[in-house]
Amino acid sequence: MNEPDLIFQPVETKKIQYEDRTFAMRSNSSSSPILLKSIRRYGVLVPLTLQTTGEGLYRIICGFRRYRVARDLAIRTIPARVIGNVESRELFEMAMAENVCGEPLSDFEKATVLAKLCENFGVSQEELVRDYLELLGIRPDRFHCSRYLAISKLSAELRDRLDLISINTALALARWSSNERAIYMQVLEYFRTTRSQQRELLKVLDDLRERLSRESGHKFDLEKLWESSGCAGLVESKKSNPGLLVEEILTRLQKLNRPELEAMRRTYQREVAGLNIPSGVNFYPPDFFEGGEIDVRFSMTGAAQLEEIARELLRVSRQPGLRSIFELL
Amino acid sequence: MILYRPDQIFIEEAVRDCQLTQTVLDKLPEVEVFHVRDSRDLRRSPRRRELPIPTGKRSLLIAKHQGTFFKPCPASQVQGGRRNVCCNYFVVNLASNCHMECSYCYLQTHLNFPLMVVYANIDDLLEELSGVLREKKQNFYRIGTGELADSLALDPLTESSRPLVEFFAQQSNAVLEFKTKSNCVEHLLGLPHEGRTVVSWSMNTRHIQSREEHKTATIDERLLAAQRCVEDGYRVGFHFDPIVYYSDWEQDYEELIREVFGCFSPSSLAWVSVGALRMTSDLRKTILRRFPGSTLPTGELVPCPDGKLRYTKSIRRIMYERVFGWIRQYGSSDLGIYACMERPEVWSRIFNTAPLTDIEIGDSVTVGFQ
Repeated sequence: MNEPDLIFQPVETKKIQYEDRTFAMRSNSSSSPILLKSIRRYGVLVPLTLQTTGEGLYRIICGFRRYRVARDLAIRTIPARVIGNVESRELFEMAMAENVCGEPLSDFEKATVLAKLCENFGVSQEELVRDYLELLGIRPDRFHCSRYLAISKLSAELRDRLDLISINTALALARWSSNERAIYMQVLEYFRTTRSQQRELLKVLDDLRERLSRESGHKFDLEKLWESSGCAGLVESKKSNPGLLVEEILTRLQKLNRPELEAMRRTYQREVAGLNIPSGVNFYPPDFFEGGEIDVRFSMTGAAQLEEIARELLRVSRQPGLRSIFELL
Repeated sequence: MILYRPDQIFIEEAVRDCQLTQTVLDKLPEVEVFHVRDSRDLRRSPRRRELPIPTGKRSLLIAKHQGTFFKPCPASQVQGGRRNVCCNYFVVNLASNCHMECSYCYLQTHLNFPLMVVYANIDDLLEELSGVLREKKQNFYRIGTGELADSLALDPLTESSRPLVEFFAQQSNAVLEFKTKSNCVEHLLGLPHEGRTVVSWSMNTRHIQSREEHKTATIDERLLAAQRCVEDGYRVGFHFDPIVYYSDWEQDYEELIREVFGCFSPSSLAWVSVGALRMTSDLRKTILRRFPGSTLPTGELVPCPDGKLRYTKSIRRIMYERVFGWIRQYGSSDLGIYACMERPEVWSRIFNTAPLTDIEIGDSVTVGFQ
């Protein structure tokens, strides 16, 4: 970058166009209380970087948050470094350099920076990978570049829910229709699902959408499936324990998504129940029945209890149901 | 089948004067050629490494293979702390990448360099193989060239099959396998192979071939090519892999197997393998992205201990039982048959026996060659 013309001067707050967010890197959210405290006590210590826009007005290159606090505190003038005629892309890079040194940018803020580089300054994806991703702390490859550009395109509706859902969930939901998203969000809101339940629900619904639409060759109707599987009724009933209801929804959907595996699970549970395994002894089949062994776990307080368990396990070992369980593996 | 034709060729300095290089250039006189001092520079270039798969394949790199060619099939390796049953197979790579576009191809996520690559230092390969086979005369080796590329799809350009066939014709303790989905057998015909080369085809139902194996030879073209090889004295093999679970799978696979074994006498068949569809979760994502019409990644797949996704065991078992049943019914009970990359407990169920050792399985497959 060429040495820009530098002028340090006090600038009237009212002449700064905060609404011009060409160089803003961060979301327009509330400023930090520490910054507020500092500016209230000492004023703006670090000058803003501004560019003249003609007619005696300025736009902000660096210092959006400092400006906003100063304005809210009714400070009339702010120290600023004023830059004249410098190419916008260079100024954007300057703003980036300033921002990455401070508080880390959120994923969405990083995504917005990359989108601005593409849309406002004609930077190609290849250039993003080569020149900018590392600066933002993103792995410099095509995959991550595409991912962040997709994040930048998230609708306001999804961005507003990032308190409740993860970025990955938001990206997956972006492919769904708004009605489908509403079904998912309804479950999350009503039942206060855990993160792992959210992920499982998203995965099973996403798999079902993908599978049923590819198999039928036309768009999949999640609403119809939601009704026909009885999940809609469960949500409306709002009875019972919310945690159990979510588990019931997941079980119903898994039966549709992995019917064979669910059939194996049911057979396994039936056969295990028929064995009358002694209490305190647990059988654990391999995940997804992929493996040839069943783990058996129990604890004991002494030799007498071990002898009792051993006798019971010997009885279990002679039952035909045990053979049926191993037939599943 | 759609034959490969690159838009540009990169030639590494070290192989500029190799026969294979000259052969390719003679066949593609109008294609733009670039000379590179060291192909590793090209491989390291982020610009090249990051090319989308179809764009990368439009460039051909002719390079020198570094390191040893000869290695055990990766299927024999322990993955996720578990090992699948292995058929004692060995591989040599004379090329890397494939211009054909099978939706399920693992190369899409396995290779870290998107260009088509052929290795021109065949003399080095033959010298290395010669040493291995001489040193362990008591062992019998089944060696294939189809791990990182289709064995014959580029043969019309490279003619690399000839020196290999001629070399193996002189070996007493090895057999070469060309595994392909092409019908490029022209250069094999008339070679003095002495029965030491097997040409094998990956076979699938017409339903799967037309929807999932883009740019490959049709099933009819593959069968015709196999018949031409048999007429020239080669033994042929068939790999029913990947078998796919879809609504008409039973009817379609039975018909395919009946057709294949109806075309060839047992004496012309070297071996047959079967493998159920499998993929890593990365590959599944790639298929979903690259092949919007494919239903393969949306089947009932579950994660296995080796990290791959497979159909649930109950589905796999039914598929194997049926397919092996049809092979025994329409083929011959003496045929060398094995299941590729399968779990030991599934193998036991299919063959009604505990899994054999790698060498025992390899020997049972190559019994007609030793």
